[in-house]
Amino acid sequence: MIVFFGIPNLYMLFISFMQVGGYGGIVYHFTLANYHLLFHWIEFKVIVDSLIFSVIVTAVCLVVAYPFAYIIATSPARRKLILLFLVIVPFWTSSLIRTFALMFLISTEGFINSVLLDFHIIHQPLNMLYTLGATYLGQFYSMLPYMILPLYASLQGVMDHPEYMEASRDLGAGASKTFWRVVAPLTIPGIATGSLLVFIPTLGTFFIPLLMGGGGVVLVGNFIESQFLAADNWPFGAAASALVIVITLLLIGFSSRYMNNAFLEEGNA
Amino acid sequence: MSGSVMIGLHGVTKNFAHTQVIREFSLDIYQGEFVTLLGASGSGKTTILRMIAGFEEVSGGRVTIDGVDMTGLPANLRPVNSVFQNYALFPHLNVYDNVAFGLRIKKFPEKLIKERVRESLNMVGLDAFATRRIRQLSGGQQQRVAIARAIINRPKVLLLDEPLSALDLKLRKEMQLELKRLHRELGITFVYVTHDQEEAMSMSDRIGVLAHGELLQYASPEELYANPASAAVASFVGETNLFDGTVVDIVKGYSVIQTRHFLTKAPVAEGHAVGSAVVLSVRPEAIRLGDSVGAPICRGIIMERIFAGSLIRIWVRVDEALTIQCLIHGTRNDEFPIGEEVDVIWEPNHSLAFPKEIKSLSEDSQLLGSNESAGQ
Repeated sequence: MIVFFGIPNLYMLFISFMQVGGYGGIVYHFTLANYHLLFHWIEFKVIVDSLIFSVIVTAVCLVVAYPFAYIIATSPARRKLILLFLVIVPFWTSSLIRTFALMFLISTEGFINSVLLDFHIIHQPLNMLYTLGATYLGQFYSMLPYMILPLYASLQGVMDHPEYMEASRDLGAGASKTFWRVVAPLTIPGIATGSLLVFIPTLGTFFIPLLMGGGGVVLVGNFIESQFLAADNWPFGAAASALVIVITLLLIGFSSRYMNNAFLEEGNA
Repeated sequence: MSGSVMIGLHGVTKNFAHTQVIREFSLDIYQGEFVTLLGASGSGKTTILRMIAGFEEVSGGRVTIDGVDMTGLPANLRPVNSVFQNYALFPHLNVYDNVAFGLRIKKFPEKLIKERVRESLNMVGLDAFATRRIRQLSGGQQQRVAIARAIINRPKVLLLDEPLSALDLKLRKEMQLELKRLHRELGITFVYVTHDQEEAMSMSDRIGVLAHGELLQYASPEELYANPASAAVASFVGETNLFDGTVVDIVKGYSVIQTRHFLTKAPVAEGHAVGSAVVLSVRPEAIRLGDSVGAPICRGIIMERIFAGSLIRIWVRVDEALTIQCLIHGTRNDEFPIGEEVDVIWEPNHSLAFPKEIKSLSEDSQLLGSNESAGQ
């Protein structure tokens, strides 16, 4: 942990307070200028954009994944196994490869456009790739399983205790009230875990906006990457990274309050 | 029993997959009664309760509550509330919110809810616990919250599924009294499910004894004990000694019964004929030992004795195949020492002979203590 996690991060934190040399590189001289720049420069907009992007992706994942996880959790054993298998299959392929596959599907000469053209539904190919929408789609697609799995685990825990739902029905609640007042609150740990698992990688994503957005979409991940690789301004990139890490840690601290509550175990004691 | 029928079960059947777990089950429960469904696990008693609550749909027959046919009506629309075996309190809500749940669903004003929650918690003695989280409560306290959460809705019927099974003996006895008190104060119909015959006997107005999805007998505790309808009921309700035998003669209202170990008499009952197989039941407390009045039925050696205050429980061994359990009044601990040979005597009028059922006991005699036969 210390060698592979602690030292690199501490080093990054360290250089974020250093000055950049005239031709790149690091000058070991203390400064707060990097952080100053972050908050006053146009780059701050990148961070805000990234936060909005991540919130929307997380929300869409949650809304789509919840019914899906619910269907898995309430399926008979055999179908449950098949559905879970289908959720896990994408993990066997690199997300980079999957993003290329998605690019092929929606590109101007891609699968969807050719089918629509062949059936004369459209006459001009739709311009779907290299847009902000495509970036959303790519990020959503690559993150969805990370939302489904914790939600499924949480819902399965509730389904394993049908007495909570029965008690709710017994007390006069119909199916929808039972869902909103009993099932949903009991799955808050799953919602918190899934949201965190989607939000954090989305905040740091860089190759999906690069590939799907075609350079038109710049998120904080791309910004950091370009500071390190293209602009050769390591201290500035490090400062931006540090900010992202701080945001992430704050979020983890906040949501852990909702995650560690082992509602079900305690309730059945 | 006066009053109107609150719950009617009319020829109810239930199939799970291809097995019939409840067969042609009929039973009436009157308004205000405390009725217990008593049976071993797997006897179908919980399934009956779940069909009344609406968690299971009947496969055949009808369930009526207060004269209304419940067929097709989901649980949330039935005028009953349940206390679950494992309480099923909502772990994400505190005591107050758990108890208030039913009234909030019915959109009562918060002010009224507050009053009613206080009243309900007061009835179960938990006024001071409203803000506690569920996991901070002991088992007994959780049980009380579960009861408060059910009765706050003022149901026509309260259904209780083995509500005390998770509590230790002392707490169980306390809660039995508490439930009796609540039943008196609320005046609503209680339907109680248990495998514990002692619990059933001490709490109920009437008991329905179930086995294999069928109602064996439905009667008051006194009636069940004094006049069990079958050997199965006799062995399930209270303790008894059972002996397999054959009717060899019928004389002056008594059947003369030959068992492998002795010849005795029992009052003639339905199904008795010369040559028919019967099961003779003799309660341990009906047996006397070692006095010379009357002819001894058999002789045996005292194998074990347990002194329990005013009663001594004694096991008399007749031979390898037969040991008879007796409950003797006695205050002296030096009576009936182990190893002593004694006469075993009972009045024919204190024994019952049931026609032998197909699924009956294969051995000459079997001792069925209440809890062993409960299949726990």
